[in-house]
Amino acid sequence: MMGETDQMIPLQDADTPDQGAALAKVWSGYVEGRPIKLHELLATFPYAGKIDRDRLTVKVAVAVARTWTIDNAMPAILFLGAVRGLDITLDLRDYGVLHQEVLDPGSGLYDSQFDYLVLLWQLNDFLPDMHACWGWSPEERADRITTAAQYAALLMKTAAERHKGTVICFDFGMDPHGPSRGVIDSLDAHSPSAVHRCLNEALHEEVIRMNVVGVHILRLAKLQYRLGFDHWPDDRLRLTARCPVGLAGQIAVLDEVVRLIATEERKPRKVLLLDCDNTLWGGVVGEDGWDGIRLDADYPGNAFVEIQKLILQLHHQGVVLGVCSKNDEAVVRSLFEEHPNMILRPEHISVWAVNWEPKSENIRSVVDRLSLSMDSFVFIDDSSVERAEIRARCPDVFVPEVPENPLQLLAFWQRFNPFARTSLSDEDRWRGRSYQQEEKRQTVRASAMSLTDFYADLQMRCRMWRAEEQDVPRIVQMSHRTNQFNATTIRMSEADVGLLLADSAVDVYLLELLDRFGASGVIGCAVVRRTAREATVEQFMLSCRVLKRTVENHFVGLIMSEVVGVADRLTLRYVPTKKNGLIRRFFDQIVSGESAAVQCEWHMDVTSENADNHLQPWIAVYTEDEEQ
Amino acid sequence: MNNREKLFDVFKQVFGIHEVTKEMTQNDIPEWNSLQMINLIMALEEVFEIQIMPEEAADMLSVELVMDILAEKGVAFNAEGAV
Repeated sequence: MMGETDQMIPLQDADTPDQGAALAKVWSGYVEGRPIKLHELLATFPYAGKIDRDRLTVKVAVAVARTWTIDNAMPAILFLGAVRGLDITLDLRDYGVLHQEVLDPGSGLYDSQFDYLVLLWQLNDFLPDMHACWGWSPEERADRITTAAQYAALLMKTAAERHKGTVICFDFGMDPHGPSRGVIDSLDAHSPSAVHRCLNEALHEEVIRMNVVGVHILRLAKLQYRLGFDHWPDDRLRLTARCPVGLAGQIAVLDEVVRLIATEERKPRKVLLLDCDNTLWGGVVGEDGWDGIRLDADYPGNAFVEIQKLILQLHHQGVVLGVCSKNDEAVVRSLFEEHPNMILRPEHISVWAVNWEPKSENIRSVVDRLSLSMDSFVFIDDSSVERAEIRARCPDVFVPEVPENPLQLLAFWQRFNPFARTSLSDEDRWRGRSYQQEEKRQTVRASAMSLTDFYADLQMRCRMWRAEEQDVPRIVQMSHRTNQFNATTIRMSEADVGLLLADSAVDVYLLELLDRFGASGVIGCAVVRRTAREATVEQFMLSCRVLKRTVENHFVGLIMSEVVGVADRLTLRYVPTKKNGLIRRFFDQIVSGESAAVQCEWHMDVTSENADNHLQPWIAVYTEDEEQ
Repeated sequence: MNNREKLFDVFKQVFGIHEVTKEMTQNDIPEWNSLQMINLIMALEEVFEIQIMPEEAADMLSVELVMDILAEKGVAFNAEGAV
């Protein structure tokens, strides 16, 4: 059970005792996204009348006003509700009179019995001449879009003001026929796809402008993606039954509505208590040690890294995280603090209960400390013994079954969200962090991204050092593998490199780079020979992985900084090959105006000011000590 | 399960009935209204991997007529050896 569907479907006089469980299995599977055949869902429809509604605890009355035919899918809403513990009483209003019913206060739509009012409209209601969109002038286009969005927003506002409960509607989604109309459809502002996109944006703008409150606008595109365009529009149903989408689409629409209702009706859980070993990483840290646990780039370690990322998303949605583990606290703490692959860090964890006491006692004391009730808590543990202990002694804590296999465990986390809510305030988003005071200021980027922004966004940091004995293999490797950005292309053996390192007039520099995607390792190498007041860069290589990010300019600046005071002139040497034209253009570019290229040598005046000119402001420098 | 059994199962599932015979017509199955007809068509299409046009659906007035139309689409209903 994934937190959303934790109910059986109770039945009256079922054909077999297991019928309710069988129905729940089919509909839970659908809700949780497992592949289900449509006729398997259809086969459950005849049982809709047998659902024992008295045994469903949450009663909701829903009115559906529509310009669609959706009648033959309607039994689905009862199952989608029942599997989530909802008893839905449905009033399917007459076909085609949505607009009239919304605008007429006496239409019966606003009878106080309805908790939810669903508006199912079609784009055609607001923009019947969509087919002419290619011929619209820019003014006409803007005008049509605004008018349609305003009309829809006005209907929402009217419904929301007159209806006591929540209003639910959909936006216009994507053009279901777009992909078949050729690439121009995605390129041209007048295409149906573009008009759909603009309409959805305009709709949200109008809702804000008109200050419409109490309405949830669901995104139709999400359902279109889920089913794919092959299974969304249905010309047969549209032309013969006035329904724009197939049965699968109708059920998906109802599911999205019920999902929202269930989320509104359920008291969301607030605290997620996590076991550590085989929950946040593979293996047992107390036995296997730091090096033995699986939390790395390969399976199964990468599955646990991804699981931690999903848990971090919950933290950012305001879920309070706690660690509840039978372990040595110092070992677990240091892992959270220092293990390089941990995504969850101490600042994300609000509650620590790491000791050898029974977990139920730990949970009781956490409940007291946070002044919350037990039913706010979710407990995740890979051990069925621990789960059973919590279920027995803290029955209100939600303890889902979790799979053992890391791949299945990841799938569990991808769908698991008993914390879901229908809106997030900024306070929610920050709640998980309120125990710490390290809020970082979020800056909003301008609409267009400049190249400078891009460089800054990479968060590059580098380190340059004089090569030593242990660097020899990497230098040999670079000299053989680097072709495009290799100024003199001298292939060296280990002995050649050894001679260079032993030469007191020669410095071999290595450059290492980190960015926000991780460490690139050693990516640059330069061989600099010092003679009287002159330094000659005899070899200059850079891995092509990091080209065009200004790292090459920075490298030149760093090298020049090293020879300030000991040399007046820096010479860049170049030997052309079929592949390294790139580096000649680079030298031309950085030396232009300083001195002309003569016989494949470029000369630069060595000053600290000139060196600074080549250093890039968006590349930070770190030392070996800071590397971790 | 042969095609006849598959077809009868679709009828049982869609209309929630226990017995199906070849002779049954729309009049014999109260649930067989225009809305349920849509569900019947979709279930038939999925189970037999065929496509049914609206004109063909209009002719499906009895179980036997459904079998005739399916047979035209290559779904065999001979009693022996049919799969």
